[in-house]
Amino acid sequence: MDRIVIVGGGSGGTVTANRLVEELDHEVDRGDVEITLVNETPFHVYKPIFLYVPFGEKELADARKPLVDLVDRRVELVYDRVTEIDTDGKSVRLSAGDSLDYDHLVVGTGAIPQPDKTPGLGEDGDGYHFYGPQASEDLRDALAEFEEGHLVLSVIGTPHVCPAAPVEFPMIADQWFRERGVREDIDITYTYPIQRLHGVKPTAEWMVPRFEERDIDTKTFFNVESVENGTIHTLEGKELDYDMLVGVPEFDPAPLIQEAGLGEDWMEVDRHTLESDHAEDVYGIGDVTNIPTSKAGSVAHYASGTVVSRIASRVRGQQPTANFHGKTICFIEAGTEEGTFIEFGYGRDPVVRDENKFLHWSKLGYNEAYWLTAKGVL
Amino acid sequence: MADELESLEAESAAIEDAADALLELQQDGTLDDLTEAATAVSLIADALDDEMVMAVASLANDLGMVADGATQTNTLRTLQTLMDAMDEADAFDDPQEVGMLGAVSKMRDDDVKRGLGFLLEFLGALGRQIERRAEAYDYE
Repeated sequence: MDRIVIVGGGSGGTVTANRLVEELDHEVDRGDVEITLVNETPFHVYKPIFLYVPFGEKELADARKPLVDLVDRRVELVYDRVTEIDTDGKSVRLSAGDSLDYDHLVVGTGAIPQPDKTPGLGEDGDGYHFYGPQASEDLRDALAEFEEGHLVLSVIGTPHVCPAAPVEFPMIADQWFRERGVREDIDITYTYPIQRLHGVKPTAEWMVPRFEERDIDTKTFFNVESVENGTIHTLEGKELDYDMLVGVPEFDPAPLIQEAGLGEDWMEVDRHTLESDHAEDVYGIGDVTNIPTSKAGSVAHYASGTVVSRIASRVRGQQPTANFHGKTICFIEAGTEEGTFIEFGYGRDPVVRDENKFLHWSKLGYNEAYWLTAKGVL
Repeated sequence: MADELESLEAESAAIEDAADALLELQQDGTLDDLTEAATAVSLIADALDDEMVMAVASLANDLGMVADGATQTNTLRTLQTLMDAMDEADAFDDPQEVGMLGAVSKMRDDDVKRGLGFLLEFLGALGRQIERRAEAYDYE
């Protein structure tokens, strides 16, 4: 019997589990294949909802559903934390002390925000972020009381998840403040570490006139070194005062990636096969990997097709041939009424279309129907 | 001006292709249909708001979840069997009144025994599915 273990019940892990059952339908029903999904909690969390919470557009409850309602009943669900991956012995150890042996392992443990490691955020800082449930609610409460002063959205950590979110936040905030009638009393500044407004060049070019139109000030080549008493200090020797700081934090993979020898930092995989550079029969999916594209849910979704196909081929004793080409799609909200999207892949830049309300509605609609994506229906 | 002409020249092949496509649509009448249909799109754009879009998408999500579950191989054939059984045992065809003794007597019928067997299997599966949800729904 082939035992497939998936670690992580996020976008990548959940859709991979569902697609594996579908692809290996007969093998699973015959008892020749067993699929187990391990997640720390019984819930799947759709993190892009956190961007809407600070503006009162969504509640935290909108961001989560029980995994049991999203995952095929033939997938064994284990709610526990994986503490160790033994790639020689082909097993994963759980915090409860049990072990799960595997023949094929899929690692989708994601990117974990590290506000405490990020200047200006966490316990020692007064900055806010929106990359976690409590953090997005804290920001909502602070924004509700913010009626004048200088709001700075600073991309501090890179790489970060969801490439569009830092672009969207100041544009949504701009329109949201206008709707509240306080925009004239609030200055907004956006900072980015490199010499343009975004890592994806066409997105950066799209942003320039739109940020100018909205009177959003920008600072590039702005690498935050420290934050003290309402002032940001950068490696380049610049200073910027703020009344409210919203920072994009640093992100790290789970420590078990490094401990298992799967990567010195992010999990190192072949960018086309998604197979580990360091262990046999181990695949990486989603934000945890070092593949050269954005850390976005769509990447995990599209990559899952390759992982599923390659595992299914191996289960059937065939040579795997499926490859991943970096397909990524991200919506970009250009305020509260219009949006656009970007689609790109390895070595292929996106075309950024002009924003319109149909694409904004597509984003809102997708947020509602996301769960069908996790189920593998879409 | 020179720059604009240069830019137009660089795009001349694309402009020619676009004009050809438009001409074809105009000649076969499709363009008229598209122009009229565009007014319906305008109507939708004016009538919809964020809340309506989210409500429709949420409904589509829920229906999609049900449809996905209902079209699993086993579920689908079981639903078809149940629907055929409902059609055969028409509730409006004056069903007999059956008391306790009548029910016991019916138990000797092989078809009833098979149906009961299915119901007992179903109850077992239902219990397992409820149990599987215990931790997520916090009723352990």
